[in-house]
Amino acid sequence: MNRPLATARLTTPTYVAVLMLLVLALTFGLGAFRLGFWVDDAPGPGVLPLAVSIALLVLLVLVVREPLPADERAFALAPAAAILATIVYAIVVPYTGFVIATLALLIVWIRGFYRQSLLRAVVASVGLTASGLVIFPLLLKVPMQLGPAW
Amino acid sequence: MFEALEKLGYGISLSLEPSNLLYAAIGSVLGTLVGVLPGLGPVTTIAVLLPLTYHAGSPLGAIIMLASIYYGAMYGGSTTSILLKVPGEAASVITCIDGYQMAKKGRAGPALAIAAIGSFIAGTVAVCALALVGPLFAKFAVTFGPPEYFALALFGLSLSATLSGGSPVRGITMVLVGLLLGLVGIDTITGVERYTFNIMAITDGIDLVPMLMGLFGVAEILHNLEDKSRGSLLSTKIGRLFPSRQDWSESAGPIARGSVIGFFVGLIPGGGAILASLMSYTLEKKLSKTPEQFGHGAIAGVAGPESANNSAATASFIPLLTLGLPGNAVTAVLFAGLLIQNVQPGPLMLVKNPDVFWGVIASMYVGNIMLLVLNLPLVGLWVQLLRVPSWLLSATILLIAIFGTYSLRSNFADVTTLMLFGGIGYLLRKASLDAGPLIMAFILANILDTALRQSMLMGDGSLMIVLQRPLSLIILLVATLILVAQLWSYFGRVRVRPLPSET
Amino acid sequence: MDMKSQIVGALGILAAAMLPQAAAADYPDKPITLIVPWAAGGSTDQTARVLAKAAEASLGQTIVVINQPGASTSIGMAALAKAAPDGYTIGTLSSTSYLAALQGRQLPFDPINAFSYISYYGDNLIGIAVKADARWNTIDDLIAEGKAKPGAIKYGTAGVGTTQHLTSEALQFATKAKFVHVPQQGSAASVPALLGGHVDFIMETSVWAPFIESKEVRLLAVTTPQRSKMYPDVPSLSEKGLKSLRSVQAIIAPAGLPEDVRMKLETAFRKAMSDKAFQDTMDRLGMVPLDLPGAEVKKLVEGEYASAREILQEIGKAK
Repeated sequence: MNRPLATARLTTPTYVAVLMLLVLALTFGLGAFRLGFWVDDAPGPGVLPLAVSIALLVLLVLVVREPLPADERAFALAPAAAILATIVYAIVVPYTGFVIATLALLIVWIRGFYRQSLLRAVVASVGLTASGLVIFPLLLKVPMQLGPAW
Repeated sequence: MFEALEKLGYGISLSLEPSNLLYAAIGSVLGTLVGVLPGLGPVTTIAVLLPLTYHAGSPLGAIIMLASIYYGAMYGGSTTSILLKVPGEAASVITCIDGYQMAKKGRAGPALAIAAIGSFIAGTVAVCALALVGPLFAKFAVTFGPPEYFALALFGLSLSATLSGGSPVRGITMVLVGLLLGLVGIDTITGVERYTFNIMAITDGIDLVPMLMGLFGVAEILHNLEDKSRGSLLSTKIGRLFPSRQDWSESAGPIARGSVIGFFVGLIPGGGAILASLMSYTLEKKLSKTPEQFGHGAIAGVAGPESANNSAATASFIPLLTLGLPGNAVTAVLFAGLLIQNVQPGPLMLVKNPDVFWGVIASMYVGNIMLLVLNLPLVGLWVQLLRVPSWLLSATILLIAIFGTYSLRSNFADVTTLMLFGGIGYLLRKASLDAGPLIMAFILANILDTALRQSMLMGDGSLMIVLQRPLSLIILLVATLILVAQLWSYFGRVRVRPLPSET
Repeated sequence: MDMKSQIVGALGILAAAMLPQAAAADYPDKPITLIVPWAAGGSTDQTARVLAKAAEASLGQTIVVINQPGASTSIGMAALAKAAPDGYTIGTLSSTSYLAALQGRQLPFDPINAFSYISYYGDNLIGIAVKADARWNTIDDLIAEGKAKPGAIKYGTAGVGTTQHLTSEALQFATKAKFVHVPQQGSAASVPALLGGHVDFIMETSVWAPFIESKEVRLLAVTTPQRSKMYPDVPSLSEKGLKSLRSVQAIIAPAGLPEDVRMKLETAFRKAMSDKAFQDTMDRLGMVPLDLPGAEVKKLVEGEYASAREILQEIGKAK
């Protein structure tokens, strides 16, 4: 029943997720030692993180030993590219302001991932961004940085 | 008891005054509209409208309008949870689980209708209970000290793992991940920053709303990219709009039980609505004859939590009005609204401003009716949203998630959080690791850790205090029972399995 | 104070010096943004909103209040420190902001010198409250028991490192009484902790006020420099010769604000203090209005900063 962590399977979503959570557990578990376990005659801020990290390590072993879910599918390319696009958006938006970055992201999204015509992508992106700007900065008075920062 | 009903009648007569009815109507419409926008929609709206209430004719009118926005926003939040898997607040996470599955199966109509009707019934129950016994329970909230919160958090955690549709091991894993993420930020007891890596945006902890919208909304549209052949979200045709006879019989019990659970849990300040939904969901799953349907579109999984959620929101007005204790960001703004009208929520509110007290309670009821009248006809319209081509719908969700997140506190870092959790959510989803238990544990982590250490400070370094106080002891025993039962059913099953082949 | 923030501060002043000063003549010609580094609905939010509303009249422009809460005000304060010193972005200052800096928080700005000081508007009223049926009738009773039975009495405040907490630490240091601090999650949470008997007393902002009126809670002392006019029978800690920190509420702007612009704002905000709605709000919150010109605000804040540092050194928590 047990499936070994063969290199060929390293890209199986479960194993990728387990790897990510392993990093999380180790970061928090090791970090707990710097936080301290006993402060001012009371348990310190490190106690719970350490306990939970250890429990998580045990559970991750159990997850790997479990048979993979029947509906587990390999990663697809489009979502990975989309994740990249959204992260790039988050990085550049403080510099470009909302208008340029949002228009670009939506055009890439509609044209690149959904293969709609360029005209449709541009028209829809302009329409959506404009309505977003009417609702949030105008009606809800949320202060938003629209243009590029100097 | 009679007296209370009489006062409630007085309150209803106040709230039925034409001007107050108008305020309720405006508030409900505004609330429903902004509730559909995720993020801090209701808080932003109420904050923007606060100065207006300064000029409103009467304190009651102003508060009625603010309370209607609150309720309207809650309705709106359920709508997006069911249709788009975009929960506007933590309590809606549970509605997402089965509601969204129903929508995908073309049953968005019944899901939305049962959410609206369940909420209305729960609201009715809660308002009556509030009028009859509410003031009696005003003191109940303060009996909840750190030991009780600690026990309650453990109880909540023991329920959280059951939210997972997949294997229990994966459910518990996500609970632990949620606990770790929930511990990020300044530690209440020592003031030390935990795992913030000097990033200012997470000094107070990872913000819930961007994380929610990332793990659910953004992760879902990323996942949908895998299957672009479908023109829209639906996998089948849209079925009937209103619940069938069978839907009704499956929902009646959950609505009734949800209303009662919600009322009592809502009396506890902080985390009320979330715990109430969680408890209702777990209970219905346990009581159901078909528990395997939970997570795949069980109507009881929408009816129960939605009712509990609404009932708890109503009951949370008790600590707000009698102790001045706001349970969440929205009630905090409502609190400020009362103060602006020179009404001091607190122990003397019943004595000094009985008209506002009973007026507010009655107006919640009037607001609930108004929302039902407003929302039932809208069900048909909302369902049409699912026909919008997926390229346009997903782009819209992306835009609303970004702008809604930013509107929280005008901080770009929150947009980064949104996108990071979008990617993480997609990965977890691919690995059949459910985000539901993670969110519950995330919320409970801080309560658990703070209450545990506060209890030890109160008990001079010993945890015995948790066992010495009757209320915390009882909650702890129930939590232990549930945990043991879960472990039993899991490990018991594993060990027992080989037996049949031997006999 | 590290080198980097000093350089940043100096650069700010330099940048301001290079700005054309003539622009001030027609200031303000567009709406002004007021950053409140607290969530909507809190006491600073409420008072700042009414004050801003009143100041609009003499400035002739709207003041848009935005809430940028988080990290004990550091998020909002960082945004303010970074804004252009042109008078179109101003903010509120609370003691919490500079106290955070004293306790080892890494801030991307200098807690004192990154700002120009426009005006003061009041102090939060902080008091020591016990349940009505408590066995202590005066602050002296409480201190005496704290000395006789060290660690037996538990108390709550809004959190570690707040004005409330540091003042209670100073009290314990000066009187040799020993109380156990059970930090709460914010001021609002302290009241139920007291009413439910989970702590024996609270050192808190005026969240206790309605419960004094309902006779569920008694006030033993206040920490304001003088007695409060709302509670004339309650002694202040300074009468007892005890140190206390002020809970500051002021209007500030990024450092390097042109003096004529600053003066226009100071005049408008100090004039706004006579507004009826503002005074009502302050009364309701039990806050003490105090009218000070900008130059004196800076001196006051520097003095408070020094006393807080002293307290932290005494209790061995300075960083």
